[in-house]
Amino acid sequence: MQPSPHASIAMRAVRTLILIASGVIFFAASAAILRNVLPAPLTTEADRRRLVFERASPPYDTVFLGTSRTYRGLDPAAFDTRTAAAGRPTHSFNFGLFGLRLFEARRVLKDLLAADREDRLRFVFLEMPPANWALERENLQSDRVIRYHDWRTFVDILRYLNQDPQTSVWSGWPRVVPLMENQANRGLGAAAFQSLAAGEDGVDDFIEQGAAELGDRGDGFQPLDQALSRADGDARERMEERHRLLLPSPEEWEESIEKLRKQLSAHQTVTDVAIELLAELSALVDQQRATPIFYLAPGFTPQWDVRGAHERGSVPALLAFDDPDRYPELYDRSLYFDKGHLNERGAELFSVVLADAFLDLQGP
Amino acid sequence: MIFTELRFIPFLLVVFGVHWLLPGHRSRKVWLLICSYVFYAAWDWRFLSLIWISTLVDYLVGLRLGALPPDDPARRRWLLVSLWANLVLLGTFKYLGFFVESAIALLDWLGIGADPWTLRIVLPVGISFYTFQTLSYSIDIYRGRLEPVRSLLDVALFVGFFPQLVAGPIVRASDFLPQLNRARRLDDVVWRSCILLFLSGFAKKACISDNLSLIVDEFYLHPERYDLLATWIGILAYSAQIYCDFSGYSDMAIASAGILGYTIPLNFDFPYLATNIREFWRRWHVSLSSWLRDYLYIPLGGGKGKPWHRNRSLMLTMLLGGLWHGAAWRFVLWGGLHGAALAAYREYNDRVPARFRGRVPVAVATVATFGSVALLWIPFRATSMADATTVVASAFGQGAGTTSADWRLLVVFAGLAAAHWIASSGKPARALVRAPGWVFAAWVGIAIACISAFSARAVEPFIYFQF
Repeated sequence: MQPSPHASIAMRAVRTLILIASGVIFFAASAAILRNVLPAPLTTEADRRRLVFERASPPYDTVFLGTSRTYRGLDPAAFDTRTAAAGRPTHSFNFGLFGLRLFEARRVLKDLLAADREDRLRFVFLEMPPANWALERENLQSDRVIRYHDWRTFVDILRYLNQDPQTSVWSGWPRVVPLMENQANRGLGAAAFQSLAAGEDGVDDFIEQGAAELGDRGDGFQPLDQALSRADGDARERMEERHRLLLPSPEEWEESIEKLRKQLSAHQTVTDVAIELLAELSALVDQQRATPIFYLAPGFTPQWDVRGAHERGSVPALLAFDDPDRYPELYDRSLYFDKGHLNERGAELFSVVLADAFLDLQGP
Repeated sequence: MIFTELRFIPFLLVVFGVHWLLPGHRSRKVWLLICSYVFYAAWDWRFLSLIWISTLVDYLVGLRLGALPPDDPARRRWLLVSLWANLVLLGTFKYLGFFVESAIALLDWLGIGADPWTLRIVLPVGISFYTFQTLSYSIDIYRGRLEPVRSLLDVALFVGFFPQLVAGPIVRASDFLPQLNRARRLDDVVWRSCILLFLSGFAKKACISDNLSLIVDEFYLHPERYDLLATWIGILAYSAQIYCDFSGYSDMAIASAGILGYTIPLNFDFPYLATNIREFWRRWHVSLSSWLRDYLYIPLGGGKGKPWHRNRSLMLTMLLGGLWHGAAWRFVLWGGLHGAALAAYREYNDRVPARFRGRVPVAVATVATFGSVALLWIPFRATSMADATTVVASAFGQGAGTTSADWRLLVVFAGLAAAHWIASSGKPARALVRAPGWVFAAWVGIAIACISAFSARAVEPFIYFQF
């Protein structure tokens, strides 16, 4: 007896679905194998800083991981001078990255800790990232974003958005694109090929390409006013415009300070997912037998209110510099390049204040 | 929109899904035409008007040619209308700036001052391909080899069909138009071959060509810096890049058309395994070389007549073929050198007895042919004649450059050559097409994982888009 046409179509559909499922399984398995076999690519600024950190001699024992506020506003030399003067010397490195978000910090921190091969790291300062989870559309397919969008991060982002009353969970769906590219290892093998094409000097060349960004001493710190003095052409124009537009007039500055005082009492509530992530970062540093220290950098960008989390123990050590009444010296307009970043003088002062707070935290 | 861009995949899936869900043959053709124009408009919607002009002119010329008796002298005039319209489009948008600049340079050289002005004309993507397609339609009707098509929709779809619209293959009207007469059936789609071809094309473009472009671009930026080894790596890298780029595009075009039920002829037949230059041209960009043969070389006299006449026809065809690739003298030089090589090979064939010719081992002939083709790519890729001369000098050990390259890249090229040779037998493809379903599914899954991992980080435009 001949099967009915409908049964035949249904059989074909089921068979096709099974074949597609088999293909997906083999794809996922192959991608997982490739992810473990292929060498880590060297393409982002985080890779460059990690390499410099890894190759440093003598090795660094203190690192500052944070956003551009850390990169532009924390001077490791000033910090080290202060701790040395107090008899507890440190050798620190600035690992500030433009726009570092909490979700990316886990990946960066893991790589950074893995680079501490001799277990010389004693202190890891973690700047609390700003309360901004959004990602520009043009960055969705950048190497950097793809790198940290694994399944776990993707789910964490959706959970975070679900908990945040100000956002919708649907706003996270564009991140499916970097998730897909992450799972497909996009560009991982190409980077390996590129390093082969670049030859043995490729790693040195890669570091050299971004050497200027690592500052004069190569410790990762480059203040914005120094960057401006060395920029030329379009880059200089852009920086000057930024300086002009983003540094308020003295009157507006006072208004901003007043606004900041009000904001402090109404800081954005930190969600459970964010607390979990902070606790995880803390645990990662602990596992390396180093001490995690969270800090809120001075500035006007809204930040998460982690004081509650600190009191509950999720964030073990917290140094907060976001209060203009407690640290008025850090809120002097002359110390800022723009509203979000300290200038060279400001960075030096903040580094000293941070060192003092750190020494206080350590106790006598 | 580029075939290797992420957005092409959902585009193709939507085109495919809706195409096969639509009930009627005509509605499917309308859908494909709309999608083809959307695909083209993703670059620049303004140039759609050029496609429409070319389509409409040849549609009307075709109808007029069909209405006139074969011996009517007016037929020739109508053919000239088609030739004139298409060549004016091509000449204006592709060659006008080049000819004006060349004329000014010539006047300047002769000591006659001319105002240095440059035309800034944007080259519409695919114009070289679709004008040749529409020309073949009118010429074939004029020659009585094709009946004119009454349906404007069919002619428009023949010209604008998105898989081959922007970079070929140059599909003949006689190959494509008959396919539009019959409703396509989903059951006729050879799925495995299409998937295989699409993935191999994707791999060639994204994993090989785009990655090699890093080496090639760096090399041709300062060719004077590199030593003998690095120069040969640069030459080999470009030979592999251009082949993988263009044949990869053609493979994806053929596969994309295939899943929609249409057949586009093969454009590349493992050209680097050719044992002589004539065979190379029978395997490389077959749709263009056969077009030039049928519509230019043979009308010019072809292989008939005295040796001088034959070689003249050959040279003229190859010079124009070179110019077709781009509005620059280096392309003309490249075409001329290939013409000279073809003429030399013909002379060799005519003068050397067959019993001696047969003694050259196949491997030696293949390597010699590939070596010649690779060297001839130098003027094609170099940004100036001076750079081309530098590369040639360095390739023969006369360069002054000292920067070397990693010799392990030669192993990569050896691997590519081996893959090219193994694939040419067709056995791996046949084995996969005949394999059990789960084996094929597993292979597809593994292949996609590998392609994705080894794809270049930046999606490069196809080299042939500029032609």
